[in-house]
Amino acid sequence: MKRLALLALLVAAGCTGSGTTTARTDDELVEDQAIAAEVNRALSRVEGVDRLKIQIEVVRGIVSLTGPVSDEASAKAACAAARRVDGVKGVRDLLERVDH
Amino acid sequence: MSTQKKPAPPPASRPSRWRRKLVLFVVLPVAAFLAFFKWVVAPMVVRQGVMAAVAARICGRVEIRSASIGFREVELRGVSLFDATGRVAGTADAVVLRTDRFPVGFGTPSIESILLIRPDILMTLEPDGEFDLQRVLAAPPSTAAPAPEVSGSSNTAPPPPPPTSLFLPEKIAVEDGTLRLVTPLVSPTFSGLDATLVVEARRFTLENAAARTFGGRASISGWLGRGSEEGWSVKVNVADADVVELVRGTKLEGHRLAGRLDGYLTLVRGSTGAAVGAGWLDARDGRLLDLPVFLSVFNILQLNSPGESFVKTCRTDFHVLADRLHVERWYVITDGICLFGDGDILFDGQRLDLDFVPRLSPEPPEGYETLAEAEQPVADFIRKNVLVSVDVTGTWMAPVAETTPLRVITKPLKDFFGLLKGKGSR
Repeated sequence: MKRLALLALLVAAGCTGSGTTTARTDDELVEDQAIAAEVNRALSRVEGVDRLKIQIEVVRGIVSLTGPVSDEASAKAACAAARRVDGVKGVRDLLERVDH
Repeated sequence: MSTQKKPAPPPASRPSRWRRKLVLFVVLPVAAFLAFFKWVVAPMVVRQGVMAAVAARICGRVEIRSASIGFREVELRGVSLFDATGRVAGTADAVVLRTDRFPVGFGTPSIESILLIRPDILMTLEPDGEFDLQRVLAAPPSTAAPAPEVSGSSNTAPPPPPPTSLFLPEKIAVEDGTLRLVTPLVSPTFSGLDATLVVEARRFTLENAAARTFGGRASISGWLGRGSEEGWSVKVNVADADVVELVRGTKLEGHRLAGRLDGYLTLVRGSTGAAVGAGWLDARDGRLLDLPVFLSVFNILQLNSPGESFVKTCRTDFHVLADRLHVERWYVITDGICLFGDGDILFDGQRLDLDFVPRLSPEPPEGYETLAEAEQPVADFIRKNVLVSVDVTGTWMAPVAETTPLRVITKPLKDFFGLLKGKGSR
């Protein structure tokens, strides 16, 4: 499971990494980073989530969340909080449930 | 009683002599040779070998004060990384390499793991949008592929080769490190950094690393490409940082400022090379109204400085653009005064172009009347349901404020009034 999560993380990082420098315009980059900042702020209000441990990648409005959360309920709450942020088109839940 | 002569015991001294000779002429020299090899020759060979190997793979060099080797381990002490100009890019108290075999004399060993102990890395964002460390880690020009031979009518150049392999393991562990980031926006120092560095051919990736900064907790993640074309990304999370620590050593140190800060900053290298990104900063339990920019607003409103007032809420959302910091919204709420701000802070000379809408009440206005012509003093107006704008120009340390009519009620401003009512969704 950990390997799968790591693989997904690396794939996501690879996708976002290459996209950040080549495909997106500066306006799109700023827009995505602004969404990431707003999602980060939203996560600070979610119980069971330490926003310092959650990595947020945003590519054209699609948010990927990785990192540890306490349980399934916290993961769902984190994804729901991210979905509520203006400009978010989708959320990829790559969070690791540490109670499992 | 007859006395029978016992057979003489074999002389004890003969084997003892042989043993002594064996020890003297074989064991001791071998031991001395092994010790000399292990403690003098091998460390020297390893030290020189590592320095040469690193110099061949990056645009910089490494110096190592001393080395010691174990059965499957090398410890390098006093390691310094220099850029091409001889400037120190980083140091480490020690670097421990675990190898798959004895490190010397049995072929080239594979490095199974690397541990950096107390590294101190300096990363400066240059005006062209590249971190100086990227230049150091780039493949040296001498390792570039030779020019392709023109055969027949085809003169198409092959794609550029990947950077020279660093022959490093997939992950490098960092223990108690220090990272000094220097950017036009902010220059934080992260200490107590425990992290894992993922090594790829074209980039180094820092996974969510815990650290301390400005008296608070922090986490850093991001990646750094090898060379200017590879880009970079940095994300910094800060919690419970101390405002006093933040302004220490800056021009703001003498001001009456206090409080705790939470924040987030994400930056990437943009398509034009400049750093772009976004972030937020929240302050709490603080005395922040002694900032020059706020004092200029109070002066123009002919209000006494409420510098001792505790700020209940100070919330800032901003975008980092190529040439400036765009403040999307800046909420300041105290018992005495509330401010809504937005605008720009240019990186060039830190020139300001900010607008503030003040309220002398924690309550939002009943209606949204705007003031057509602003006249001083305007404090009477802002006590009522009439809104003015205070435009702040000048610089961060020497701001200049003037009142102007407020003609437009923006959505962030409406959100601010919603927050004052306790109905804000943000």
